[in-house]
Parts: sequence; C-alpha cells; structure tokens
Amino acid sequence: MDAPAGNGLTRRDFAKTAAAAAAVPLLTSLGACAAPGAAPPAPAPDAGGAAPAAGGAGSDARANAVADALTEVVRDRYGERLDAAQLETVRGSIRSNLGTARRLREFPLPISTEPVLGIPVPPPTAS
Amino acid sequence: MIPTEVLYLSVRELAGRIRSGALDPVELAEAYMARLEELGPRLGALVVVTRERAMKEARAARDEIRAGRYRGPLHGVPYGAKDLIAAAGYPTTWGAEPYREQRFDHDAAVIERLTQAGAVLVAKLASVELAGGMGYEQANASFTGPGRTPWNPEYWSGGSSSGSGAAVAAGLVPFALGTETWGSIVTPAAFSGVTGLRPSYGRVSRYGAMSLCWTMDKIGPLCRTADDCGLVLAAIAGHDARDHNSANAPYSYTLAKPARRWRIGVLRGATEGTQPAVRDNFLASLDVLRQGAELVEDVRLPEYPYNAAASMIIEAEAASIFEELIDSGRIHELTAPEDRIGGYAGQVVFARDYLKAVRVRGPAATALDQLFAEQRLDALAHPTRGTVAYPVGKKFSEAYPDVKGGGEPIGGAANLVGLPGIALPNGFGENGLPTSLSLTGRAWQENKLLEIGSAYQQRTDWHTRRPPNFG
Repeated sequence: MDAPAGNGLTRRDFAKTAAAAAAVPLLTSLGACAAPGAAPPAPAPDAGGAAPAAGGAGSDARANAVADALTEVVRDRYGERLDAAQLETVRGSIRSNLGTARRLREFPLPISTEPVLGIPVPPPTAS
Repeated sequence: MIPTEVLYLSVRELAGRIRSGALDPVELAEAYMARLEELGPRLGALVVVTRERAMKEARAARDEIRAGRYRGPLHGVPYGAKDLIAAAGYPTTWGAEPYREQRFDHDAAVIERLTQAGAVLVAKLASVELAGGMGYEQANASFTGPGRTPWNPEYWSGGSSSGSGAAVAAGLVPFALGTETWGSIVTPAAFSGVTGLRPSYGRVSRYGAMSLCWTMDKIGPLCRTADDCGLVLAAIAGHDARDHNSANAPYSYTLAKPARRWRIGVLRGATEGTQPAVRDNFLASLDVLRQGAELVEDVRLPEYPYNAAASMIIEAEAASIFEELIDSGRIHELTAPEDRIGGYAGQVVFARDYLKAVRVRGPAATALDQLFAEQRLDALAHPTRGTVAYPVGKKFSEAYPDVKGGGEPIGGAANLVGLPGIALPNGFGENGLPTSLSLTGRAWQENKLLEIGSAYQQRTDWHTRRPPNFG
C-alpha cells in the first residue's frame, strides 16, 4: 500500500505538517497544494500540503485538548498494553490526524456532494 | 540446464520459446524455483516456493501445449504473487507475524485468472506487513525481514510489494503480482529497477486479496517491460461479481498506432527537491518522449486536498479492517515497533472527517478527468520517486535529509481517484541504484500508458539491464 509516488512524507509526517498548518486558520486559498519544505521521503503520502498561516494560540490549544481527549479514549480502551512513550506517540498521531481533518473541513464542498465509495470515474460504456 | 540469461527474458520472449517447444515449462519452473530458493532469502523477497502447485501447473501446461491446446502468451510462464493474495494450499501471511499460518481454501480472483491463462505460480513473495498500513518508517517491517534491491542489497527494494520488485529485478520470476493503495507497486518498481503498472481502480478484482483500504486498493503486475505488463493485465482484468467495486469494463490489450503524436503533460515542479540523478534522468527521459510526443510543460493539478483526503480514507478504512487485530492486542506481534502502535490513532477518527474525505473524491475525480480531456493529455510525466532507494537499517526520514521534496501531489491525487500509472526504469543514481519515470493516465486508459511505455522502452535499454552479482 503505502509508499508515495513522489517526494514524500510518511502519511503521518504529512499529517504532522497539516496539523502544524491547520492549527490556525488558513489564509491561503483552500485546497492549495503549494508544498512546504517537506520532511525527507518515506513510504507514504507526499505532502503537497498546507501552507503555514498566521498564528492562533486558541485554535492550537483547542486542537491539543481534543487530541488529549481522544488519547484518553485510546488509553481507556487499550492502555494496559501501551507504555507512556507509546501513548505519547499515539497522541502525536492523533494530533496529526486532527490537522488533516482540519484541512479537509476547510475545503468547501456544496451540500449536495455525496461520498464516493465506489468507482470515482465511471468506465466508458461499450459501443 | 537453462542459462541464467534466459531467466531474464521478458514474458513475451519466454512465451515464444515455450510455444515453439524450445523451452519446457517444467524445466523453466524448476529453474526459477531453484533461483528463488537460492537468492530469494538474500533479498528478503521470498515467503514460500509453491513447488507442488507449480509442478502440477507446469506439467499441465507442457502437456496442453504439446497437444496443441495453447492458451496464450502466459501459458507455461512462471510468476510470483505478493503474499497478500490468496492461493489455495499455501499460507497467505500478509507479511505479518499474527497471520503467519493463515490459509485460505480458495484462490484470489487474480490467481484464478492467471491459472486459467496457463501461468505457473512458483512463489508467494514477501510484502511489508499488512501492506504498510500501520505506518512503517523503515525497511524491516515484515517477518521475512527487509526487502533488498538486487542493485545494491544494502538498500531497500521498496514497498509494500517489496518481494515482487526484488524478485523480478533479480530474475527470480519473469513477472509478479503486486498491490497498491498508495505507491506500493510503483515504489518497488522504481527502487528495484523494473516496470510496474498500477491499473485503474476497479479494473482488477480485489477478491481474495487482503484489504488495506477498500476504496483505494489495486492489484497490478511488475514485469521487465511495459509490454509484459499489458499481457498480464489482459489476463487479470475484468468484472468480478465478488468484488462489488469491480468495473463492468471489458479490457483488451491492444497497442494501437496513435493517430497523432501523444500529448504528455509534464507536472509543474516535477524535479523540485529531487536528487540530481533523478532530475537528470527525468529530463533525459523527456528528451526521449519528445521523439514521439508533444510535451506540455508546467501542468498543474486542480486544487483539491488530495493527500489529506487519501490519508484520512486509508486511516479510517484500515482502522475498521484491522479492528479485531488491534482489539485483540495481536497488533503488538508485528515486526516494526512503530507498526505495533500505528493502528491506534485510526480507532478515534471521526466519522464526519472520513466522510468529508470521501466526499472530496468525487469532485476531485471529475476535475482530474477534465484536466486530461480539456488539455487533450494522454499522460502526465513525473519522476516515480524523488530519490533512489533508502538504505536498510535507517529510518526513511533520515535517509536523505537534504532532499526536501515538492511539486504537485500526483501520488495522492492518482490514488485517491483511482488513476492508472506506470513506472519505467530510466537510469541510475547514487550507489548504483535505479531511478524511474512515471506516467499517470486518465482513468481506464491503461493502453495509452502501455503504448507510451513500450515506445520509451524501444528507444532505451534501462529495462534490459541486469543487477551485478545476480547473474
């Protein structure tokens, strides 16, 4: 599965980059693919990701609070098998995922846009 | 005894000799199996040689061909299958310790089809555990150990189809099946110096193959040539009612003489942040392509959060697929330490975030299709990877710290919306390691990629090179 077809970050590195950028409101155009200085390549998605924007300590604090809460869910369910360092790593991944989610939420879509779980582009019909 | 150089022939070349009787399918299978047993473990490429099955299939092929019942160009040709793909009678381990003894009593659809075509399964080939879905960060992420490229075995063969790439490159099999959710056919093709084809999503049935991400998984061939990829795709493609995302889109491998010069878009910033050899070899590849194509420079993808959407989809779908593995705690048996905890974050993804990602897919797919249509593009050209293979024993993020990456997010875009792609060897870089050219195509237009790829390989010889020290 997981290896980017380009100059890539791991999926989690990408998410960390997106988290850093999405902790505050994006000022660039939504969906912009201007790549930041990407971390070294790794076997998952390339970044092509969010450009950093101006600061917002409040948003960062809220995101961290959500990450803490979700980490607590993980600890509650699986904590007996995760040591403190592992749990901290998991928290980092959760925080990164929240950044990715933020980036997605800030991309506007018409309300009528439905999820695509099948073939995205229909094949040509046979003539 | 079959000379080693014969084992490096293309599928098409082997087919001619098999059909004429110059090569015996049984002797050929035995030769590849001997080579797999001798060299496969050195490259971390082998899970198991499927000897009993191979001999049965090879004998059947020999007898049928002698009786005049020739099935086609794969008849009697040996191959290996990434060990995410079920084959009855043998373990299907998914590269993962918890599944080391897992067996299925049926063949995957692709194995069924290759069997029907008369091909001979000689091996299950190594895979990164769980197709890399737990977020591995270094090459030692399978119970078979790190996959190694035969060009320089101190370096990774790429993943997650690590065994498939290495085995084809080292002449252990003439072709192999790999899978890709995001990069896992084209990366081992690039790092191992072979040709890999990622078909359109829905072109090839996923039945019987491990799912990492239902809506992004594809199965495709790794071969020595683009032409061979076409031959294999012709055998494995087609609708299958057991895969509900299998397209009702008949496929035939035909190389038409183009009515006009191809138009190939060169992605903006394609060589941004790549190693010098990757850049130089890509530019040289463009010079070759220019002989038969008009190049459209500086193509930008429509602006969508491709990587964010693709990441979110994989995270959420994998979390569901592997929930039992995670809940049971057996995830802690995986080889890579980071994989043992990599699945937990996905257990707390919000449904609305996953759904946003799959809502992005539709308009993104339409926009990309329109890009190809409006600019009349037959393909988009870009380097497959920004660097040569990573060293085994180092974290990927520490392999080439000076390489920063950049350019258009074609990997995320193509895999989010299911576009086909082909990776073609195009030279060498640091430490004798191969570099690779990628062509990404419009959905359902694999034949255009195969035409352009074949023409490129008629004008170059990178695909004919053999790794030193492997005969």
